[in-house]
Amino acid sequence: MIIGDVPDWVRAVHEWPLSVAVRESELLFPILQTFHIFGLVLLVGVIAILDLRFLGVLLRAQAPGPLARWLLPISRWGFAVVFASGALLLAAQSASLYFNEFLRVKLLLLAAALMNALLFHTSVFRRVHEWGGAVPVPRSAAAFAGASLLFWVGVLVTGRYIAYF
Amino acid sequence: MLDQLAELSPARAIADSIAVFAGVESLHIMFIAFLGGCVLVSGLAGVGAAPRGIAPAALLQGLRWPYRGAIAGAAITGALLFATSAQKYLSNPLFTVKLILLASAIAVQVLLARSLARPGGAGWSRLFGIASLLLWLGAITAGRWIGLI
Amino acid sequence: MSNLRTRLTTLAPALLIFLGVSLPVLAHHSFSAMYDAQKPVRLTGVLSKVEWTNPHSYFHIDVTGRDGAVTTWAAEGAGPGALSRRGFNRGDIKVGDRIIVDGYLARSGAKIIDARRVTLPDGRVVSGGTPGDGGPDGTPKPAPAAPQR
Repeated sequence: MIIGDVPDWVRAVHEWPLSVAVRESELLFPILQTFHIFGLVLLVGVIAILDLRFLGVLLRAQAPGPLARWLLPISRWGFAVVFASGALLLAAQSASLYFNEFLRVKLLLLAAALMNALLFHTSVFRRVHEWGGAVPVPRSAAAFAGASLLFWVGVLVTGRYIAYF
Repeated sequence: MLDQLAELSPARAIADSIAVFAGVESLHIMFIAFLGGCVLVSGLAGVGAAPRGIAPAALLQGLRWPYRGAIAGAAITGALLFATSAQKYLSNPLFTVKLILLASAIAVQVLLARSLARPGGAGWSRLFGIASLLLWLGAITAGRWIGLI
Repeated sequence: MSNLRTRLTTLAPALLIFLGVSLPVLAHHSFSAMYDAQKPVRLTGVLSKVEWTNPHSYFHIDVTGRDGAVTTWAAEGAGPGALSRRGFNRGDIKVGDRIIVDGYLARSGAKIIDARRVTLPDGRVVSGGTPGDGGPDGTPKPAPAAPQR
């Protein structure tokens, strides 16, 4: 249900044939929601392990370099799935969710999470293969990892709240 | 009796709070996500899919307590969610399906760990690995569809 | 590591007790945070618009008050998948049909109710509500004609 005056471009997205199909479907919408969860488990679950390693909370005996090289591509698959399903779900509800504050905060946190990842990967992460064993993980890397956890958890929580407000 | 208990509850001020329910739900999802990560990473390492530079045995060992913590967290938050409308959940067949799939997933996880520890258990490990994946995904799906039927 | 374990085993019972006591507080969730179970409403009128959509369906009803003034109300129901599984299909109602919807008033005060019970033009009564939402069981007592606000 559309409440309030949404901009024309939002209304246009809302009326795309694909948006309408998703919105009025019996199965497609719930299936997209299910894949959205699969994707977020793959993204957030795997990233959390890597971030917690950088924070020195778990797998302390494992050098971070090989762990990152292994897990990052997996997490990107998760991102692809959660982002694609999310985009379709959003398009289908674009007009009805336009004024939803939790959606707005979620999208901001998502942007922050991606920006944080970009900054991390173009700076201190470049030296990840030096860390482990005698060389500790630099504090800045731990800070990026902590921020990453906060942002992704924030995305998850605000995303859940959308349905209730 | 529950009414009297509600009167005693120190959290009475947050009765009917949507923020609380959604918060518990969010925690539930967080624990599930972390659980999924642990299961996937352990599973891959266990069946030999971890690359050079990863010590599988140490990895499996190191993820054991995080995995247990994630299950405990998901179970506690799940129990809280269940308690909010126990009757409705019990009468929903998908809830039963979810619990069965969950119990099976955890059981297969144990079998997987054992077959990995056994020399020559590689064949079983692949079987249990695939079964584990299907059961966990099935449990998540059943959980999501509870409110949609 | 054993220090952490000791801390956890002492903290856990305390946490569980706190959670257990807070449980009854969470005994209402998404339903009663959005709708007021103390304010049953019966909408009797003409269907002016139907949104057969996810995540919720909407039935817009023109209700004629005692003074002849027409007010449009909205009743929020479950998604198309859930409704069709209960035998309530898109083709069962159309604009212009007279229907009755029983539900509870939105806490926001807006002219919205949740569509707990829908009486179709052919006399069939179907549940329109969102499954497992923690709302009251059974039918709300029919209230007098919808408020004329």
